[in-house]
Amino acid sequence: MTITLTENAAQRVKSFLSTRGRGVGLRLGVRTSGCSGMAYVLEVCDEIAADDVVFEQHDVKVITDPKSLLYLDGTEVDFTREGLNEGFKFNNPNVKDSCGCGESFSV
Amino acid sequence: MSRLAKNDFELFDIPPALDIDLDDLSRRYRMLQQAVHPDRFASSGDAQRRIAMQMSARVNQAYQSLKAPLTRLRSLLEIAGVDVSSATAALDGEFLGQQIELREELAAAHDRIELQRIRQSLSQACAMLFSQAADVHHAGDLAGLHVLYNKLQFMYRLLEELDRREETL
Amino acid sequence: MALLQISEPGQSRAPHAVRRAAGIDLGTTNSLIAITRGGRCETLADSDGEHLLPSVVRYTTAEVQVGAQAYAASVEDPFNTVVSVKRLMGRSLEDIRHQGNQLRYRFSAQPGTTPRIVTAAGEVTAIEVSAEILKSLAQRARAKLGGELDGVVITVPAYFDDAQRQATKDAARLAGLNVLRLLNEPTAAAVAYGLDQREQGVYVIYDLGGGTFDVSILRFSRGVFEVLATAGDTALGGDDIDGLLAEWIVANAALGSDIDDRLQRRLLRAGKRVKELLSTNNIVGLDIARPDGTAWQGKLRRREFERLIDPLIDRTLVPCQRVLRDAGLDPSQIAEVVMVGGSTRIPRVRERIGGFFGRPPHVDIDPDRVVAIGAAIQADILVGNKRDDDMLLLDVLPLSLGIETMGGLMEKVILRNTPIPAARSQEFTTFKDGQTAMAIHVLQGERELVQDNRSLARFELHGIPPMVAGAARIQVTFQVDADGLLGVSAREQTRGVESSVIVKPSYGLSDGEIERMLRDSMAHASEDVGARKLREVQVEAARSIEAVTAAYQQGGRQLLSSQEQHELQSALSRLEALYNSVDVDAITRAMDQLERTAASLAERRMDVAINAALSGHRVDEFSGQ
Repeated sequence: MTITLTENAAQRVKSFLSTRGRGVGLRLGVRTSGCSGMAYVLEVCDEIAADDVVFEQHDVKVITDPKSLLYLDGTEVDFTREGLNEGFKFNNPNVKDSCGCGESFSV
Repeated sequence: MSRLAKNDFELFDIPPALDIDLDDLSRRYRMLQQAVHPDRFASSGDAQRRIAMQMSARVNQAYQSLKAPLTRLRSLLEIAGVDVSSATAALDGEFLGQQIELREELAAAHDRIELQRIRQSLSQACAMLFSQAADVHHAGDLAGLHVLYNKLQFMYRLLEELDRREETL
Repeated sequence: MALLQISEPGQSRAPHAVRRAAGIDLGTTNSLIAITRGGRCETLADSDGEHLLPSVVRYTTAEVQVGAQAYAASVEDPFNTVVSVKRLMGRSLEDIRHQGNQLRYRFSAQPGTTPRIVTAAGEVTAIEVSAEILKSLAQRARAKLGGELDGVVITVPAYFDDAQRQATKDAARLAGLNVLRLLNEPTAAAVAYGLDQREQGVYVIYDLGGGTFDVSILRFSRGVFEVLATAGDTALGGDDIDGLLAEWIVANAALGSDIDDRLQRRLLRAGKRVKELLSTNNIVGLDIARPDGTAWQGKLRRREFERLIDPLIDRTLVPCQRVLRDAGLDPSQIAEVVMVGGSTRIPRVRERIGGFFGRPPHVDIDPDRVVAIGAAIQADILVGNKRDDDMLLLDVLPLSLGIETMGGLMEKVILRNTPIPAARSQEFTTFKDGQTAMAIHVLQGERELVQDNRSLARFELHGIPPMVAGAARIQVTFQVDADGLLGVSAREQTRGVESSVIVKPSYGLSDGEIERMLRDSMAHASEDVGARKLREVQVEAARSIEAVTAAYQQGGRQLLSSQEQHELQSALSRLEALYNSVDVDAITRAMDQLERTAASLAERRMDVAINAALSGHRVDEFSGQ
């Protein structure tokens, strides 16, 4: 089981953490809500919990809880720019259907 | 440069000319409105919505002006720096004579068939003036273009009069 | 998919919830509400399974009844039961009298003011009556969607003037509804219809309802509905046919001229029933009880009925002719004629309109529901549930706008069938030496003389520097928004004196009156006015924060200097810190500050959008500046 971070995304996380001054890595997760059932959680992580799963790529720790990992397994997280927008993008093979706005999805 | 400050042709990104492709114009109009119409910003803030309304009104105005040949001609004159409200050189006697004749004909017309006939001859006269105007614009003769614009204004006034007559029949 | 940003621990933003929106067809005879759920549109029924809500309101000393219950009482209690209130919206007493005396309310007579109907529960205006209908409809949507509505789209006849539109919007405000848009009825019908068809082309929408008539020509192309021309008559519809039939009964049953109000309502209802039966039968028998106790039996054949209504149908053909001419089209260029409104069920109407346009009209859609469905589709988009939808409605101004000039003439500033939003400026001057003030009289209509047009508002511009006659340059700007509502401002060019007005119809309600009515209604609902105000401001502030944050994420870094970015960020955090407080004024100030700071970003984003549109790209493909 794995979650991958592209080099672009890793760079972005590193610079975010260094600007912020603290934080051990990037926490990914899912939770129920939104128009299509589930939504991604993308947060800076200050503390790793006992049952958390940790991956490390390009010197960045990616932390997730086991329940979320069920829905995120195989996901690649990228940092891209689309037009005037920039942000993180989840390429998740488990997604069957996402809502028009792309902020939530179902599996 | 902000798009509000651009002239009609620049706003639609087409070369300034009297002959334009109207299908292309309406396609550009729809694309521009897709980008600026306030409905596109219905969930945005007040500032964005207000600017969208101004922009959308500006696009509408330019489209109206480019769509109709007479206002398109006026835009060309204005871009060239001609004050269209100022008087031009006197119109030739032949033209004025023709105007008087047409007016008399219009006043004497009493049914739809006669009005239809007058409309046809007016439309032909306008088409001729517009094709002259296109040539004159190509040649860069602004004074000549201004005179043709004034003549066309006379013609359009007759057409408006004709519309009124038709509606009261 | 959306691009996400890193949040602080536990602060991940919830994805937007589906917002609650509805489309309302506020009709002369019947009204409807529709919603979109899971991509599907439906009209909502009441607890008895009825979708159509009769647009009838009855005022008794004990309660306000709306719909079927009120309709049932309308014969017995004509003065307290208001029917066809849409015909009174934005109208003066003189206008109403001019429409004929089918509706015999008792008006408290004060010429030059908003007409007030005297009922058992006191005097009510058309706006208040309409608000009751809206409240009743909104209740259905709240129950179905499980909460307060975030916004509604309300349809109006395309030919409604500014006063009628403003009155409709005021009614919604009184009903506590957030109006996302006033949508023209034929345009709404086209939206609902277009979704099934999706064929490019030019369509005619012929909409003959209970009390209003509209005809619009639209071009549909790649999701864009462009209204090319519209015309109509806001006092012509099925009601008038009922009236003709009532007159026919009076003449044939020898009822004489002494018709009391109950009998009048009874006759109108009989006329309506006869009309409906004659759409499927060739002959209808009538049995009318005379006031003296005797009875009259008669029958009416379809052929005779058609002779009776032909003059009314003729009246709809004049606007049909006009839209064709205004759009510069002839009937052969029309792809299809779509019939909307209950009155288009009459076979004679279909036959005559088919004859006029030279093709059988399209009658497959439910003429009653299509307008509400179209409004619901548009509401769903405008409230923000369908952000990537390409559908766009481009509408026009139905009647020319202008101002009074010397000699009692109207000078047109914006011509009818101009696409909206629209803005036009015109310069005027003084006619006396040393003149320092100027009155501006705003008009709507097509006629040359002031008195033949509708007077919308009067306002004054003061502080014009004294000059010789004709030297001052006063620029009057008319701005029409996407709802078709007008705003006017005037500015003296040499010194820059500004005067602006919100056009308030001569026969509507002032902001103060609406405020007072809201206060009164809340006194009944035992809700605190201050608490409501605070909640409204907080919601608005939250919306503002969300909107500006989104705008900033979409290009703020590229389009703003670091100084500007900093100012925007601090205005944002100031409002964020305040918006959950209880200080209405402070929140409002912080909100204004944020909006002002965000304006330049908004402007630059707009430029980028335009450049991208013309280079054939979507904004989200556009990279860099």
